[in-house]
Amino acid sequence: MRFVIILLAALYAAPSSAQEVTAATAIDTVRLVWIAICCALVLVMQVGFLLLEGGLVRSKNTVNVILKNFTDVGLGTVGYWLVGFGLMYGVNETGLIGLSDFFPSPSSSSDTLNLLYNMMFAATAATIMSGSVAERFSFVPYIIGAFFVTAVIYPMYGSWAWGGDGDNLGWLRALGFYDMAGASVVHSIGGWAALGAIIMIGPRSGRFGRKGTVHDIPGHSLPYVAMGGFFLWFGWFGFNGGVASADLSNLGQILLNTHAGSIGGICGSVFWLWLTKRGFLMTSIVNGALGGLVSVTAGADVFGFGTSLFVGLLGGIFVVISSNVLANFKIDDVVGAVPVHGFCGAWATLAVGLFYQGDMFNIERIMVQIIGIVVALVWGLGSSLLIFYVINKITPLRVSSREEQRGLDISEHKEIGYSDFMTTHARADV
Amino acid sequence: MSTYNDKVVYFALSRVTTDRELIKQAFLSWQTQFADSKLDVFAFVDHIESFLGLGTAEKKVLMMSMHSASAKGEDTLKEVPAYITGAGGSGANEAKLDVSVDVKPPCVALAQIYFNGMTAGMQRMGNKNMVELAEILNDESLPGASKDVTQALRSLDGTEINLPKSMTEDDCKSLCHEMYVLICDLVGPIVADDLSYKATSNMLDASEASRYDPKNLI
Repeated sequence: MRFVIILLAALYAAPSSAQEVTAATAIDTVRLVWIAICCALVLVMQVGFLLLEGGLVRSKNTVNVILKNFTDVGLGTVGYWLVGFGLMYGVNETGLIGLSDFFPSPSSSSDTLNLLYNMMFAATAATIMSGSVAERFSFVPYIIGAFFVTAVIYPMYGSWAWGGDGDNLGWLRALGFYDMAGASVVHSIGGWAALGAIIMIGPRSGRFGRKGTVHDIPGHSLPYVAMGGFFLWFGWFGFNGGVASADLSNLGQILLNTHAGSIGGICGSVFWLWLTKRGFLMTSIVNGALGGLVSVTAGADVFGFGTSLFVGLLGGIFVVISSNVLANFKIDDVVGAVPVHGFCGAWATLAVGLFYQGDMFNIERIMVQIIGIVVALVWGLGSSLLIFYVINKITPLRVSSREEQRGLDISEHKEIGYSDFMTTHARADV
Repeated sequence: MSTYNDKVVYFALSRVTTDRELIKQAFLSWQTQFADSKLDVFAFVDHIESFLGLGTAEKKVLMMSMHSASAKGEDTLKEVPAYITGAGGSGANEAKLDVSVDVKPPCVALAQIYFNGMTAGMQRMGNKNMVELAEILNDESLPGASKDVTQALRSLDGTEINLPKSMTEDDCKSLCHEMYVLICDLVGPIVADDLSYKATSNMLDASEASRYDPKNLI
């Protein structure tokens, strides 16, 4: 509100002799207001994650997955503030790692909002994992893992792709790697970290039968899933739009292309479901929309509307296909985070190389983007496997089979998400 | 010599539980509080419901047995055994109950109810699933199942299983859980959860639930 008052004062009460100075101040203020709004919008994405993941699990695990979403934002943000921000944006002389600005305490509004905005991004990277490993991952090791994702895994890659300045750029950035709002930095890294965690703990009981049968385990509330999808869509305007704070002239293009990505994702998933005659599954279509959003995250400022629509459309198709591929490999991703964030993040990064406006199909750029994709996969998956391997040695990642049967709400939190609704089923509090 | 009402009460009680001690206590309670007055089925059933901790299904059985026995002639009802009335001493002189006496620890009885509930659910889903379940039980031992239990499981042919009363509480817990996991593998966790909820309800409705908390088994 303070920003708005300053802005209005600057716009309407400025003396004519200082018009240029006032205009510059006003633009700075608008930027600050916009980035502040974007911080809130990115936080709204957490509501989206919460509803989406909460709806896609069985009712006996709702409290657990929602609480993981809540707490990873809290602890993850602390991890990012303590270590992550410094690793990512500290002085980066080697191009490999930032080594200053740990526990930052910025004084200017601009720096403060920059820190807050980056904290929101880090929390997003961490929370991607929670849905994938739902219904069998113990609470405490998950929180420890999420802490390491925001403190180490995400910022390390971030320092390579976004870190440094002047002559000391992160090594990927120095190569010319481009990722506007974190398709690889946030989404792929989150998705591959989730894949590592999934591999470490294995599938839920009964997800894959003895003879290779895949048993569907539908979530308990599809309306939650749809609401979650819309909240994420809404929040994405802040996720991508915040990047425009440096140059507000392309804000409209970024927001329009973000919207186009989601629309394309819906069209792509609907088309593919129709083509394969699998029925128009709500979960697939919502995930298709999210896949479309991820797909334009790397290049919403360098795509045209048609390109964004096309890139989003392919993203929506990839989500549906890759979900089935994962199931065939007996990888149990409860919410489809690996297809949406991992695969579509990679596709988004490649799409920048392919469809960069005014410089399409530049082989050099494509190669650099591919390097970035491979590095994200190797680093995200490898470090996640290592961290969860170590955590598993200290405290078991997976709840016992009996706790899984009872549901993690009762086993881990002594609370039931729907105590009235479940009176019949929870007669024995199991 | 038992009265007609004594015989009716004994007949009904013996159809609700096979536990001699429980029958005896319930019968004594009847004699103390109701025997001198006219037989009021509803008042008696309400009293016994809280006395024995009966579930809905058992209460229904008791009620129907009372009415059924009341409709019979006195000669067709069996005498109340001496060990129940306390008139004939104990030991060798005790009359046998007219139902098969197989007193099991409550956790075993409840595990059996759970197990049979799960298999009945599988049967309702089709013969193929049941055949597959029987094949697996025949080929493999459930982890933690004793030799007796394994033998009992291998006899499963679509009928109800009779678990050995020698089973320990840990055996029972293990059996119930492994059965759930097995059914999860066969038909998926959604169906397994549904069957488990129903089997749990059966356990909660059983008289043994008043002496052993079924929650401990699952």
